[in-house]
Amino acid sequence: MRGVFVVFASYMILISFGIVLYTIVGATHH
Amino acid sequence: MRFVRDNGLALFFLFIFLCSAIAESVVGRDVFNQEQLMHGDEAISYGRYLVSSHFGEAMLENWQSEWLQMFLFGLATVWLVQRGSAESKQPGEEGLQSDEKQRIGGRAPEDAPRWAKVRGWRTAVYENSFLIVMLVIFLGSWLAQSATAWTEFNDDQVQHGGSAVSWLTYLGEADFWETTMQNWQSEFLALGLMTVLTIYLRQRGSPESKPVGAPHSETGSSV
Repeated sequence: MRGVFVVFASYMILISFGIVLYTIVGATHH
Repeated sequence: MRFVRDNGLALFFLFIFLCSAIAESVVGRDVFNQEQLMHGDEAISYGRYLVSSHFGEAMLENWQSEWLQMFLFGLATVWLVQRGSAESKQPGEEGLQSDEKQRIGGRAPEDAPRWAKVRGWRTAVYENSFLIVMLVIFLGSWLAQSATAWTEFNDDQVQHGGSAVSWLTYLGEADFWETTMQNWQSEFLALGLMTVLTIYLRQRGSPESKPVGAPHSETGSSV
């Protein structure tokens, strides 16, 4: 199940990163 | 190779997501630079485009509607049924169901997730964790869409001699709601269509379908 968790975590990190990055990009008028 | 086989579905979609996102960024930069040159501005690098509101807005406006779709489908299928659909519970099973059926609290097996066994607030959170996370990432993506679209909108305004607006003012602009509704409508139609198509149509081997020989009146997929 460790491999399964790695895949799950990869998705969660990817999505969180995208949301945070582009909120900052927009808010800082990039 | 067991890792790849065990995770094939998630890895396949991750791979085609990355390919599509890269392709989107390449052609998106071309579109952006064509506009820049038409306005007499300089073209930007690929790296700069990746952290631009143009790219962020294009990606996030689609993201938010997908999470909303899954959130609403998760919520609606608790309380509503569609007779004959592979995506539905049996008519008569609407609602949250018994602790026994959901295997929580004293009904939880030995190997159940810990938060399913303990009851109290932890079980209350865990039994709704899918919808909670979907809602949070939907709202987060929608916020990111609004921020990037706001910057894009103001750039356009200023370029055409208008004046920039605040973020709150932008939330009331037709521009924001047009891109939002444009994405929502297609998701809702797709969910409705999938719900009714799986009454009469089949895909052999897919858990999204009823077994090929299942009668049209049979509700729920159980391959």
